[in-house]
Amino acid sequence: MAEQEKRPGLIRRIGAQPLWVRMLLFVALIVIVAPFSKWLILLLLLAIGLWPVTLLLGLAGLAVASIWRGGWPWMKDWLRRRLRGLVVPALSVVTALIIGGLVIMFTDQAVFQAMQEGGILEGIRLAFANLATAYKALYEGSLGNPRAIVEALGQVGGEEGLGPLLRVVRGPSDSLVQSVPYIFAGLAVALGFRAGLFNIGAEGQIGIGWLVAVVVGYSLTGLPAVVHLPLAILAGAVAGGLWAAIAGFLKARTGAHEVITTIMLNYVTFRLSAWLLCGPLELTQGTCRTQEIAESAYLPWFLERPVTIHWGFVLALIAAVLTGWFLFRTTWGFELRTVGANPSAARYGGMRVGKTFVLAMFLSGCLAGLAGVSQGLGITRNIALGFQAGYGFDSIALALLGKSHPVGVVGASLLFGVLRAGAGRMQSVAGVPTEIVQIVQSLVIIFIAAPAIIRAIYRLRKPREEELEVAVFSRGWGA
Amino acid sequence: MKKWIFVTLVVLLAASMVLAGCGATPEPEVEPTATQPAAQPTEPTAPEATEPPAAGALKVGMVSDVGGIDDASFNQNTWEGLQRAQEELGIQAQFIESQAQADYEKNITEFAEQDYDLVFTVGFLLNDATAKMAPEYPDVYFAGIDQWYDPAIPNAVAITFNVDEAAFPIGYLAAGWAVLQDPDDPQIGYVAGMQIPPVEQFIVAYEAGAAYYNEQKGTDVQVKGVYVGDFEAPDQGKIQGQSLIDEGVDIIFGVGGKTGNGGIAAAKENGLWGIGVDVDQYFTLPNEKDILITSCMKRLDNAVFGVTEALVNGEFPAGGIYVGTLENGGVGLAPYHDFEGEIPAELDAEVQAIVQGIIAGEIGTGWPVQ
Repeated sequence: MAEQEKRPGLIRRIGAQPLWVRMLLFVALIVIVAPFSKWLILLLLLAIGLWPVTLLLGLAGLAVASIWRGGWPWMKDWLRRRLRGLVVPALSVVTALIIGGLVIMFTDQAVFQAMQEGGILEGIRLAFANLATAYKALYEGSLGNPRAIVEALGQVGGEEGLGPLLRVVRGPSDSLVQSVPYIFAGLAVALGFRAGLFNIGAEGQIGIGWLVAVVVGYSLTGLPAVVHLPLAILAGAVAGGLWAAIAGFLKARTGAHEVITTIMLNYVTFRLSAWLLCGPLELTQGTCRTQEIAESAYLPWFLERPVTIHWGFVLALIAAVLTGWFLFRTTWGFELRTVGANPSAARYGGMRVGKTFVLAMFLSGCLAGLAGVSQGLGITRNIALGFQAGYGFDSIALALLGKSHPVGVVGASLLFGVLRAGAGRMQSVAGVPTEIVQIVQSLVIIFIAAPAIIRAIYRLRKPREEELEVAVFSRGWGA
Repeated sequence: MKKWIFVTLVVLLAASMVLAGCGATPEPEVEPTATQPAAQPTEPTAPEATEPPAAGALKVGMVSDVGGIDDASFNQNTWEGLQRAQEELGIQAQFIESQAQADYEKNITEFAEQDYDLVFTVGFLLNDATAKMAPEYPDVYFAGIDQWYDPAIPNAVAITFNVDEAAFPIGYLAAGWAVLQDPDDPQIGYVAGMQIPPVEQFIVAYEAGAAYYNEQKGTDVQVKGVYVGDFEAPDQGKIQGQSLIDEGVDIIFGVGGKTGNGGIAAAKENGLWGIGVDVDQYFTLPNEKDILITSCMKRLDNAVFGVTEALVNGEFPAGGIYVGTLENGGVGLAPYHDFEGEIPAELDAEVQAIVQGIIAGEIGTGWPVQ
């Protein structure tokens, strides 16, 4: 942890280099790290599965670092600075889980039956037992069973190789896999919000990106993966971007509101894809799906089944970093945010508002397209009728949750990914419908959108004025 | 007041965290501890406690498609078959509702990793995922409904239904009914879900049945219909049903989950008639039951029960297929219920004769399309 001291200096020194040097460094880093990626990812999954241990290690590391920096006061200050923003979100999640728990407890017929037969206490006991089963399954389905992980760690090196270990880290892996499309789509909507655009069309752009990436993935064969995979990814992203740019162009040219046009484009996508999948692109008559993509276009998995985490996760994180860099460190990003804050002022300041609308919609569509790409090349490896998963609509909530900031969006996406990954196991073990997860998700959004509720429940102090970050969301209908 | 809410929440928080978070909690009523009923609660920390009871109840899972378990037809009917198996065969059944194409493999993995003995994957849309996952878990049996594996998979059975055999006489019956009710302009209609082969199979035979009626009687009963493209859109189904009715359709065959149900609802509102699908919808559509002249039944419950029973008896037809036909009761026509006396005896007799003709192989249903 001694590097903690040097690191800011190092980062600043790298930051001072020209862009191409930084890019080169970044590529070099990827090349160096890639061979170890399998082990790094396994380590990450273990760290998530054994998060209490990770937390303790982190705190210990921080304590060591603080010895150099000024001891306990420095550490306390550091923690307070980092954690303050997390209090309301964390309490929101906890409260949402409690209310979701109440729904689980009191929507079960068996509970009321037990109340009638064995009295209220019996009913409540059963209700809590059900809740425990359900949430335990939700936890194990999304974060793994810590005890099983420790046991499996003991067996590493046995005759089964990594097998047992892979089986127990399936939960964390599923969570990350589920969060990948959420991160991309959430970033897409967030970027739109920053430009004052409400991109409801993410769902459609995902479909277009997915479709185009898969088509590129199977129609070109014989290419090496180094060429084919980036080509398929790029094709999907650009297709999603161009699809969204239609809405941006219409807004810039005719003033047509992007909410209307993106919704309409969604319908076009759904019908278009249904026609293509059961028509021209169909594999064989009556299958309503395309053929499988060539192996050179696979987004590779880090490990093997049942751990399905793929490189899309890393791409999603890179996309988040690039989005943040673009929005807050570049001139175009500044123009985009200015247009979002006040188009009239931006126009007065000499910015080309129309161009910015088109650019913002294009980039937003690219990100949404990547969500489809990651699903198509990383998971399903083809596209079939009924591929829509609602990521595009959930992503609106994610952008709101994350306050349209890349870091916030990634955090919110991970949360949604965790909930969604655990839902299947909760239903299969405890018989609790997956809809409970949607209830919890919605409640989290309500509480974070209206933090006053959480502050009132838990008697938190009001934040000081300067801490209130005013985020720019979409401008109203009149804009 | 506020304080009470606060206190309640804190208590609930503490209670739920203690119960839910800590893995060491013994779970006496979660799973029937068939192996060691007395020992388990007293020794919850034994290392073997994480293993589910191996012997005893067979575990059967079901992965639904995106239609949801409560669709009043397809998925629900499968689940009913499993519930019956749970009661009569003593198996342990659970289901997972899929939310999207990308979830199919994950949900199948979920059951396979929990060491389930048999996993039903419900619907044509899960064909791919099942074919991909079955070889990954050779110790688990799979049964795919409305699916087809080429080549056959040694640990999977494909379950298909010759629904055309039931839809053909229903087309005939509908045409006869339309002529009876609206002799000047008899028309029959359908509101269908996605345009995929298992749905087309109903429609093609339904149309063929009506054409057969025209051929026999020299009438000109028209068939009109739409594929809505969705299994979960009762509103769309209703709108499309209404526009069919505006064009003069007298009876609507709803084929396709909740969407088809919407079409039948439109018929009800206009005082017309409907035909149910997959199950005897007289029992699943309480609002529209009085206008349903019959239902085109695809007895998924019988198929699921049969396959599960075969597993229990150690006769699972692994690597094979199960085909539901008129002959083995896998498909069929529901009773007329409220229309028992209203359907003319001779029409009923003709329909029964067609059923016999199809079973005997004398009448073609028009499916598969050449």
